[in-house]
Amino acid sequence: MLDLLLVLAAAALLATWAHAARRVRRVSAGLDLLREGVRSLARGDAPREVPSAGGRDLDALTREFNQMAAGVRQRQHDLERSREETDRLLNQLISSREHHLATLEEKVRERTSDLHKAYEELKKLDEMKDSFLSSVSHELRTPLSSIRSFSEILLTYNADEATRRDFLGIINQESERLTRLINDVLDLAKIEAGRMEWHIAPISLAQLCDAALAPLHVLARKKGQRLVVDVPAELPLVLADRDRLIQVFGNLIANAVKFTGEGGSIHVGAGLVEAPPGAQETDMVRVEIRDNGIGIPGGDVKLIFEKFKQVGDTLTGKPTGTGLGLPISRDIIRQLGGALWCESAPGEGSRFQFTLRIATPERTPDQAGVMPQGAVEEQMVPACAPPRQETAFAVRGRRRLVGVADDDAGTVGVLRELLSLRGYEVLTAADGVEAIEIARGNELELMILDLNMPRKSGWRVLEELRSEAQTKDLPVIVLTGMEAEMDRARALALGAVEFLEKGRGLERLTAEIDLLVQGSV
Amino acid sequence: MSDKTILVVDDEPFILRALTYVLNREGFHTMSATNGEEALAAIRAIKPLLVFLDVMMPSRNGFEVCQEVKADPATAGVHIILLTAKGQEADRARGLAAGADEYMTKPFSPAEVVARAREVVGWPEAGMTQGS
Repeated sequence: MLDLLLVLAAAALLATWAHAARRVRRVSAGLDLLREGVRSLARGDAPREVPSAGGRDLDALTREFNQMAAGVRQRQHDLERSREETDRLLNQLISSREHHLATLEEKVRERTSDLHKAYEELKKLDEMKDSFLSSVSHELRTPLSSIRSFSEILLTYNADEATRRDFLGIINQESERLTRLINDVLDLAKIEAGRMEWHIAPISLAQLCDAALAPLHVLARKKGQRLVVDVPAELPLVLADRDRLIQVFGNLIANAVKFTGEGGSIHVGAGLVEAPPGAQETDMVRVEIRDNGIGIPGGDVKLIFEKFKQVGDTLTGKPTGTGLGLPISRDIIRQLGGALWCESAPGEGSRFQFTLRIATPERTPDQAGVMPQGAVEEQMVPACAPPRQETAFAVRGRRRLVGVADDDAGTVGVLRELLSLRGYEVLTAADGVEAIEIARGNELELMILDLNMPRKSGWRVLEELRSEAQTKDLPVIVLTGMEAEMDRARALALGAVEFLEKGRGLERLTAEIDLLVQGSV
Repeated sequence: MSDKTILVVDDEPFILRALTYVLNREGFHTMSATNGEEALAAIRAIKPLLVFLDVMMPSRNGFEVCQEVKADPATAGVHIILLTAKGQEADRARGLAAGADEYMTKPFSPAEVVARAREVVGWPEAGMTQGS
């Protein structure tokens, strides 16, 4: 029995142990799985769910673990997504940066090329300036060399009378050449810098040609040539600066004389430019200077307008001018709102033409003219605003009365003489107060007014005349002993139609009077 | 064999005449040329001791003539004084680079011309001096 009990007890013990051993094995296996799960988590592997293997004891733990693992999984996933998002943003940023850089580079390239172009242009300008300076230097020093050498020779050596006269002649000739050159260089510099003073007024081409071409007739006769001037007197007045226009005629005709042989002829003509299509009438006059001389080869026609480009004289083969006459002439005509061009062929002579604007009362001085037909490669450069306004001259009384106000009896006498010869009646005033009186009391056609007068100055007279209805339109020519640009501007601003220097010659004054009266008929 | 003749080259007739007159009055024998080609031909033919050579001339300018004269051993010994109306430093450098011995700027004084001629050629031989 005891044995049986013992056996039973042993069996029970064995069973219990076996059961305990099984549990221990199960728990151990569950723990192994959990450990493996923890390690895997620690290694950073993708977390997996750990199966429950440890029985009830471990189930709770396994559940907790799996929950934690799921949390880790979620966080890892979130992290992954946020990293992807960051990468995406970063890439976006980089690509936009790259695009920006590329545009920037493109801009830099463009800018560099622009700068390079500007630099090249500046360099070209600089070279042109250098070559101009170098030419001026050469052209100035050459006559100066002759003057200096021959004067020193005359001072150093005894020479016979004929040689002395010869050398003095050279000195004289070269001084003239130097003077011409200096004048031309200064003119050109002034025009190009916009510093030239322009005195734009209505001018009759026929009258101007009569007066200005006399010395050129002599020049042509010396070479046995004929200078034929055919400028119709009935052409309308043109807007121009008289002295500058004479300069242009002088340059072009002297050129024609130079390049035309003995017995040749030079023809000066003028006419209206054909009205441009669509316009009712033309507003330009065309002047032409034609010769039957040696002409200019096609390629050189452009060159002749370049500074210091000269071709030889027909007789000596040496250039005799300054090489600036044509560039200056072109500049002048452009400033007057016209164009200057040349047509020529070797052996067929040359034909220089230029256009000028017609003076009309309503035309304001800075209006650009119309391009003439055939003026290739010419561009119209608007004139730098000429300083004076034109006035429409109203027809005044039938008696041709002109007032002369000047305290200088000599001037009054001369003016009275000149005006009576032209059929005017002259009323005189010896001071400013009398000047106002004769202007108020008579239907004057014109008043010539001295600025420096007793009792009331010419300035005051001018102001008063302008402020009164009866006299505000009276054309006034201001006379002065000394021409100053400031005074000129002031007088013109006060409505004077012309401003003349007494010493400058009565020819100009009478020409002006004729023009004013012509304009009024 | 070098000649005591002085060659004067300038395309400006008055300058040529002034130089020639002064040198002749001081007893030097002169020869003149009015362009680069003539100058080269004269230098090769007579091998002068001294040449007054203008720079700005048509066809071949003074720099070119100078370079050619100095490059040829037969004429390299010719003393060349460049005459020019351009006084700029670049031209001076170009003249010296072309082998010119001296450089004179217009307007020059005739006395200076004579002084240079005496330095290079020496005093003219007796009997050559012309009367006044």
